[in-house]
Amino acid sequence: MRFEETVSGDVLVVKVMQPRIAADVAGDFKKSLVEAVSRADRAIVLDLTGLTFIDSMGLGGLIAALKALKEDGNLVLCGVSHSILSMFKLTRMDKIFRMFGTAEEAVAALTHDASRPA
Amino acid sequence: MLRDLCASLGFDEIDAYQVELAACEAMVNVIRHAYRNEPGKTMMVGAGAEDGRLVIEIEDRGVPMPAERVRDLKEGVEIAEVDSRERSSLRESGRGLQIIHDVMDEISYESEGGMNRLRMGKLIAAARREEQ
Repeated sequence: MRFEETVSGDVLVVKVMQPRIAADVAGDFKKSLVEAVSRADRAIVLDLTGLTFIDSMGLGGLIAALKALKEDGNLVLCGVSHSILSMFKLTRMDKIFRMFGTAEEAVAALTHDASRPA
Repeated sequence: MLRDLCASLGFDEIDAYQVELAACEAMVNVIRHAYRNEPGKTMMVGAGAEDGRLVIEIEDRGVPMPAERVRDLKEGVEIAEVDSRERSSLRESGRGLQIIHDVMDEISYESEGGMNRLRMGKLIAAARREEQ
């Protein structure tokens, strides 16, 4: 599973580099994403720009990653196409995953969240 | 190929994606449940336009879908309200039938003589407007 990872302050940005996450690669995707989440300090942005197809098993991998977060951890998405957003809405997962247009917007939001007093 | 067929029938990008998604979910269900992930099995998949609908048929010779799953497929699955703070309780699987039900307009499932056939139809836009 090809990811491109960059660190922006305390935020790990993981960009998915393949256009399709379906059942045939979902297991690998889940394993790789959960491993990345485990390494992230607190906040992780998953950049789905360029993703043209994901099925419910791919969604399962995203959910597994969410569940692998530390208690104060944060996983958000960016670059979600209108089509893929429709899958999140069909499954009501749009209420679970916070989404941003770009990685920059996501990083800015997470950085702002982290700097607010508790 | 399915996306090209959808485009030629006038489906927009989102509908075309959802049709491909429903087909994918149905095929994965055959692999995982009808054939229990056993290698070397075959399924027949056909798609075409018929009577103002895009129709997709999937045939397999595996274990038939249980009655309660056929009911979920035809009648839908009630989705419990989810709370983003309760992430440990989120399911990682089991959304395929709900997706198929919500995307496709017509669904039938038959099992006879060792053959299972799932038939899914989605109204083409012009036909959808006429029926409204």
